Parts: sequence; structure tokens; C-alpha cells
Amino acid sequence: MTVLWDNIFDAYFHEKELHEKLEGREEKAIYHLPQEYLELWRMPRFLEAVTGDIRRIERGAIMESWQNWHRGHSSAVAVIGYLGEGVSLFLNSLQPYFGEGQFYYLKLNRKVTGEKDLLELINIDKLHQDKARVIVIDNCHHLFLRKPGGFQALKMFLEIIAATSKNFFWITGWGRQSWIYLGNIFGFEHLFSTVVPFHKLDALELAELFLTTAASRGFQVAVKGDFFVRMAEVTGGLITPAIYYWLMCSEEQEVEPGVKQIVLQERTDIFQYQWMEELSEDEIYLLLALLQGDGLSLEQIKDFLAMDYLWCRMATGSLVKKKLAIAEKDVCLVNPLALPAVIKALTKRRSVIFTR
Amino acid sequence: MEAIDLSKIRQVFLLVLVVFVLQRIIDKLAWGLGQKIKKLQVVLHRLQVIVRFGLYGAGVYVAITMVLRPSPEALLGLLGGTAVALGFGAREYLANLLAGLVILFEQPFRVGDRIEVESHAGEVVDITIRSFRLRTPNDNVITVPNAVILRTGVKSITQGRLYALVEIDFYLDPEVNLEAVKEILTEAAATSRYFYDEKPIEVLVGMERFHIRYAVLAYVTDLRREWEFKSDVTGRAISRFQELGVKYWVKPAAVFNSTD
Repeated sequence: MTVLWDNIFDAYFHEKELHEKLEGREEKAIYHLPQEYLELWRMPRFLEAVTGDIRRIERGAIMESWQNWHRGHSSAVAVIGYLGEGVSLFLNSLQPYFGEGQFYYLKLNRKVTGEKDLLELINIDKLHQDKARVIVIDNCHHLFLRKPGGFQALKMFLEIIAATSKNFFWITGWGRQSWIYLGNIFGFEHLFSTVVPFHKLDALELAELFLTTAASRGFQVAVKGDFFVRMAEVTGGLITPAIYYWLMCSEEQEVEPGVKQIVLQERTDIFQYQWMEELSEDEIYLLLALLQGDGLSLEQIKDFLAMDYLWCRMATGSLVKKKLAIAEKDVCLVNPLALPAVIKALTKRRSVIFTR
Repeated sequence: MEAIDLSKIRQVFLLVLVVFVLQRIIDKLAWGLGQKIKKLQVVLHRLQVIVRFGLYGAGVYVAITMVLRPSPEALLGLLGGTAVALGFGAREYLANLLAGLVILFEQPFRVGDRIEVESHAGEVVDITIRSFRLRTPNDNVITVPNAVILRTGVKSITQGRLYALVEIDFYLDPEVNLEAVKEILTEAAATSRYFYDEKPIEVLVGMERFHIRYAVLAYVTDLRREWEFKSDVTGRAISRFQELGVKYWVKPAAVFNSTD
């Protein structure tokens, strides 16, 4: 869903019409910042630039598993991250470490629930012919739909991995919510010798990331107080909300005549979602469905919640209105900026643990 | 015994009023806070019960030691009179009071738990010094005297948690593919929105006289949603059976009576 994340920021940056519709001073603050400064934080460019540095640990774990595979051990890797956290960019960035010829990357952009569809997408014979050795399948959470009979493709995929892990080094990318759910249902973790969860960024890492990026274009940035501690706290260490928080707190000030500086000041009015306590049980379930599905159509929501179309339409409309979800064409998904709050609300209200 | 002092009666009356008002305020606060912070609802209920008992105890203590201040003889007389009164008429009330203290300190169950006691089953919604109240699945509220727990056992199903194990039975034709049915039932439970996905699902199979019994053992996120969960899983399974042409079976009443 990286393309969509990019569009959200496009909307925030460029679509004046949208900004005029939004209320409050936070969105207006963006307009007053220099265009060059705004461009620095655009996704996926920003993530591409920083993936190499901030995901050292994750890459190290994969390379170790790769070495094991070379020694003849069956190895398969699962990379797990929250949606919009840059799993796809990370997986793509692995190519130079394996060599182009043997690296095969496939990103699932839509739901694939039938065995036949899966076999069309992953043609093992062709992979053998092409002498691919490292197979990266991204967005594996699209291999199931939460309804009876919706797991056929996933089961076959797991069988393929189990049967071919001596021949291919499998690297798979999963949304965190789906991974936890599927792991509990099928207990398939044993299939993956290496599970690499994206670690949440702490205050120090966030500071390094943002200050280095700003300095790379010569922007002088003054940070007040425990800015990054607060940033890590309110964004849950998730990168997309962190960028948003950074921009909302940025203000250009003239420190001397003719000398401008970006001043970062903590803001307490951003990410205030206390009212989420008031969400109905149905809305909570719907948010869970959208998170697990990484975007669902009305038909898929209907299957998940076993409700009728009208209800699904009204409930998704309500979440969109509350800015907790985004409707993109015929798909509805959780607003990445509300993700920390949504995770908190789901953990509180459904006794679901999202931090395994 | 000292002559009746009107000012003391007034003071005791005032004390009762204060205790009553304080209890109402605490009840309202706990309810309001519980509505705002759903997660604290159960904890608040429990605290409310403890505070209520504490308040009654403090009220009695203040009345005796600070307001009435009876002489030792008068106190003995009072206790003797109380014992006689209890022996005759208020024995049951005292038993309930004692059982209330047992519930408070031993905590065989707490507010929010789902319990079965005697022939009643439901969620504990309130515990007072005399009785506790259960909300049944069909939304009736039953008041059960506390003393019942001294006479009979109490089965606590949720033990302070919200999630609980639920059994959903299916009776199918012996001809159907066992593994396929187990898969359908597992998926029906796993895909329900009420399913607590931190716990595994089991499908147990048993022989009956005319059919195979499949017992789906799965956890529901909140036992108050037990019936919705059962209904949802059953509906999902039946839809899938219909889709795949699996012959599903509803247990006939005659067979039910003969086997159970």
C-alpha cells in the first residue's frame, strides 16, 4: 500500500481543495513551510533513503538466515511490520545483497484466495528455469480472506514453502495483525526459521533519522525539550505518523534578520483520540477487519462481519468521516495517521495483543 | 440502658443519610467512569463492592463508638438483644451478611464474572451485603441471596477474564468427509468476529446413534457475546456446508431426549 501512503502525503502537500475542507491550524501549518523542506519527507523517497540505516538489525537477521540456507538448512524468513511501515521498500532494498539474477520479487497488490490464482502467480517450474534462488513474496496477508473457505491459497502457499525451502530461500512480508491472527489459527511459525519483526523506532533512532535527513539539505533545525521522546510516545515509533507529527510541529522562524530556522516544538493537540473510547463495538470490529485485511472492499467487509451491505456502507462511511479510515476507489483501509490510536483502542477494547 | 436521647437519634439518622448519599455518589461515579473507560468497568465494579462494604462497616463503627457510645452494660444488652432477634427472625439475614463477607474476602466470584449457582447462570452485575444479582443470557436479572454460596458450590466460568471457552455442537451425517468438516468448522470459528484469537480452536468428534457429533471448542472475546458467537459460527458453517453440498444435520428432539 506504499503508493497510497504517498498519495496521502500528496494530498496533504498539494491539494489545496482538501486543505480548505480540513479544519484546525495543524494542516495550515504545513503550507507555511518551505516546499524543499516538505519534499524531504515525502514517502516513499524518505523511507528509501533511510531504510538502509534504520533496518540494520532486520537485514542482519535475514543475512544470517541466508548463510544457514547456504549450509543446507531449510530456511524461510517472515518479515513483519505494521502497514505503511516500509516493509515493501525494505524487501526491495535487499536485492543488492543477493545479486540480481537469483532474486525474484513479487508483490501481492490484491487478494489472492484461490489455489489456481496462486499457482498462476507463483510458477515454481518457471522459477527453477530462471535459476531464481531467493524468492521474495510481499504482502502475504493478501493470501487469505477472513471467511470460511478463504484460506485455500494461504494453505497452498505454506505447503509450497515447506516443499521447496531446500531449493529456494523464501522471504515473505506480512502485516503484523494478519501474522498474529494467522499464527494463532494455523500455528505456522515453525515453517519460518527466521521471524523478523520490524522494531519500533525509539526516541534516539527517530532523532537520528529526522535530524540527519534535515541536515542533508542544509536545514537548521532547533528542537525544544524532550521532543523525540514525545514523538516516540504519541506515534508508537511508527514511521508514517512520525513524519506527520514532525511536520505538524515544524515552524519556520526568523532567528536573525534574514536567517530562518525550522523550530520543532512539542504539540499536545495532535493525535488526540480519547474519543475513540466511545467507538461502538461494531466500529472496533470493523477497524480490526480493515487492519487485518490491509484494505477491504465492501464485499469483503460483509464477509468478515457477517452484516449486510447497507450496514457495511454506513459503518465504513462513519469511520471515514472520523478520519480513522480512508476510502480509496472501492477499498477502505485504516488511516495510517490514526494507526497508533487504532492499535491502542483495539488492544484495550478487544483484549487483543498486537505486540508479539 | 440510658434514656433515649433525641439528639443521638438525630445524629444516627444523619449518619445513615450520609452513608446512603455517599454510597449513591460512589455508585454513580463508578458507573459514569465505567461508561467512559470500558476497560476499567469490571475493576470499578469490584472496587465499588469493597467500598460499599467498607462504608457500611465504618457507619456502624461511627454510630456505636462516636454517637451512641453505650456503656458496657448497655452494649452487652444490645448484643444480647441482637442475638435473640437474630435467633428468631434475622438469622437468614445474618447468614447473607456473613456470606457477603465471604464473597468479599474469598472472592469465589467477582462482578463481571459469569457464574453458575444452583439452577441459575449468568453474569454477576452487582454484589450487595445481602444478595448478588445475575444477568441471564435472555437479559433477565435474578437476585440470589448471598447465603446460597454457603450451602451450594459456585461455578465461575470466566474467573475474572472477559474471554471464555465456548462449545458449539454440530450433528452431521456419518457419510460426510470428516477432515473437510473439521476444516470448515475450524474456519467458521476462526473467522467469526467474536473469536478470541489468542487461543487455539479444537474440533472434537464423537459418535452418536444416528450421526457424528462435532464439538467446536473456541474462545469468545467476551462471554457476554456467547450467543452471538454461537450463532455467527453456526451460520458461517451452514453457509459453507451449503456451498460445498455437505449434508448437515439438525439433531431431532426425539433423539436428543433418548441419548441425553
